[in-house]
Amino acid sequence: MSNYFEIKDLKVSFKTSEGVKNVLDIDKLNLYKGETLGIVGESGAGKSVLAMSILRILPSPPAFIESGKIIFKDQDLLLLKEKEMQKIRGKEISMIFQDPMSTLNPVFTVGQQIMNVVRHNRHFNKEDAEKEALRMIKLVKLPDVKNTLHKYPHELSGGQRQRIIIAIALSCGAELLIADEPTRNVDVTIQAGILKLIDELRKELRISVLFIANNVNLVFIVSDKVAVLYRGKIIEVGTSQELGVEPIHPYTRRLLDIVPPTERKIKNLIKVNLKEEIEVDGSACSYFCKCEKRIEICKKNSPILTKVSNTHWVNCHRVTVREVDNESSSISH
Amino acid sequence: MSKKSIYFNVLMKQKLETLKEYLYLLKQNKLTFVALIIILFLVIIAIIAPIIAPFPSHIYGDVNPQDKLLAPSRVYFLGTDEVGRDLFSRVLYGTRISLLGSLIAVGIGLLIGVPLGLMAGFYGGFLDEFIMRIVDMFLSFPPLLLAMAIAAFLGPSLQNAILALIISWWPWYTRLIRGQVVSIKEREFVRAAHAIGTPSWQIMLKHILPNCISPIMVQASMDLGGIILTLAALSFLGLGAQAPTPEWGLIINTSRTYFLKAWWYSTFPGMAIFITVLSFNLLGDGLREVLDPKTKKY
Repeated sequence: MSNYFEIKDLKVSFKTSEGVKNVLDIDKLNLYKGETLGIVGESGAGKSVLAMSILRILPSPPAFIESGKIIFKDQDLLLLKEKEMQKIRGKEISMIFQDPMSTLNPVFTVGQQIMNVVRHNRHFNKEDAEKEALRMIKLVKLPDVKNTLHKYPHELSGGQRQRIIIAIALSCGAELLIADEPTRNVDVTIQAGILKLIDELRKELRISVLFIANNVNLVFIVSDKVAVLYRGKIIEVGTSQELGVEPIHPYTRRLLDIVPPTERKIKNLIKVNLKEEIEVDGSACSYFCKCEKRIEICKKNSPILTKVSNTHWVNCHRVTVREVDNESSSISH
Repeated sequence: MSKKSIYFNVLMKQKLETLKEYLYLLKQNKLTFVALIIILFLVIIAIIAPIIAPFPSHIYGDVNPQDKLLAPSRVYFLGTDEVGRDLFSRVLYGTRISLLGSLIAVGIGLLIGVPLGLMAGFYGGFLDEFIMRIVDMFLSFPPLLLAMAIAAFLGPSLQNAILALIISWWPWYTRLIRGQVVSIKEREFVRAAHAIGTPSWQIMLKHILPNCISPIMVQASMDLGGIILTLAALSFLGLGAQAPTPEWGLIINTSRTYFLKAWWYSTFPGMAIFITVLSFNLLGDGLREVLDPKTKKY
């Protein structure tokens, strides 16, 4: 397994009327071939921004990438010209969007849409493109292949549409699939089917998957490796086992703790989320206000990603400063 | 049966289904159906006008003063004008001039307006500002007034009147399309197309344009009527077709003098304009109902 996708020191900011706001600050994140990397975080944590900055489709302005490297197969995607990037999109890296209801063009049949992509990107003629479209629809395990080909998006259900979208995304031989909350607007039973499909396709086509979701359960089931994003920063990354069994960062703990939800846990969560924002200067840890286990140093400077094991990295002072679980030094209640 | 012919059958079946659906929708909108029939009828008349006209020589120059200003009769269905020409033949032929004129004006207007609007909306920025400010300049004049000014400037003739109409009409399409494009370009499927490497010209033509075609169709069908009316107005004011062209507006203009003596002279060309414009407007309304899913009746 080679290390073929890596993000280094990526900083993405938005220019707003109140000045430049940093929304994403990733020290390092890597993905091996054939692996699934899950990214969890609450809404607004920067998950979609991360996905879009990999493909460089962030609307800019207001967004702009300040610095950093996104290395894919030994080339820095951020240095590529738009024309070269165009060749990466779809053919090397592909993306599935959140909402299956609006990701398909309503005026063409799904067959036409798959054929369109294939014909343009792979220069197939009409007959080959149609065969390919049929093959792709079969691949995503939709029943009644021939009829589906001639259906318009509004004639399909959400789950079926999402399958078509996956088919389109993979129709040009992409090696890396970015799935940005692919199961957000479909119900639970369908979710399971789509997740299973993505996982099967990953094994079958030997692709890597960057799986983004705000549903913690899903991410831990599907992924080999999980990164937890909070306010644009990776606060903990590790294999899903490591994180699932032994989360270190207080935020990760809380994320995992809420499953399965009980009344007490929810009440506790609401209490924590309603905690007033304490005035802290920019150098403090981004999780300072809501952290239950904060210590003096958290206020002064923000932690850096620290190694726990070969695969497990945490962004918390409680690892750097080895006074872990010393309740007397905690300033919280 | 070979595989290909099976596929062909499936395709034909689907085409048939869509056709059936359209027919059903038309049945639901009876008024539109009537309008469509009338328009088809007018188009046929326009094509075969010189053949079915009882007095083809009367269409243009022919003069026979002994028959001047005769009331409608069995020989002259709609009466005659002041130089004895058969009004029926002339009104029939006028259909061809009006329909062709408005078709050319709308067609060229679309050809100019749609690409410009598409580019303005899609690329935004300076290009958008540039195109839209020019459009604003054109639209700041009342359309008939601008057309009149241009027609007067170019010199009165049918061709120049049509040219004037094109010049004063294309900005409407640009503005309409631009608004559509700006909203459609933010839709998820455009972003998705971008993410899988679709080049921008293809996004523009394959994803955005087909999605804004229905408001264009509605607007264009209404404008077909509107332009017939304006063309007649220009001719009536002496800025369009010149005698002896059998243009409806022009016929009404010359009939003004004989209005009290010969009622048929101005009534029938007026009714021709009325029916044509009304049909196109009804068709436009119907199209809007059919194409807009919110007003679609099942």
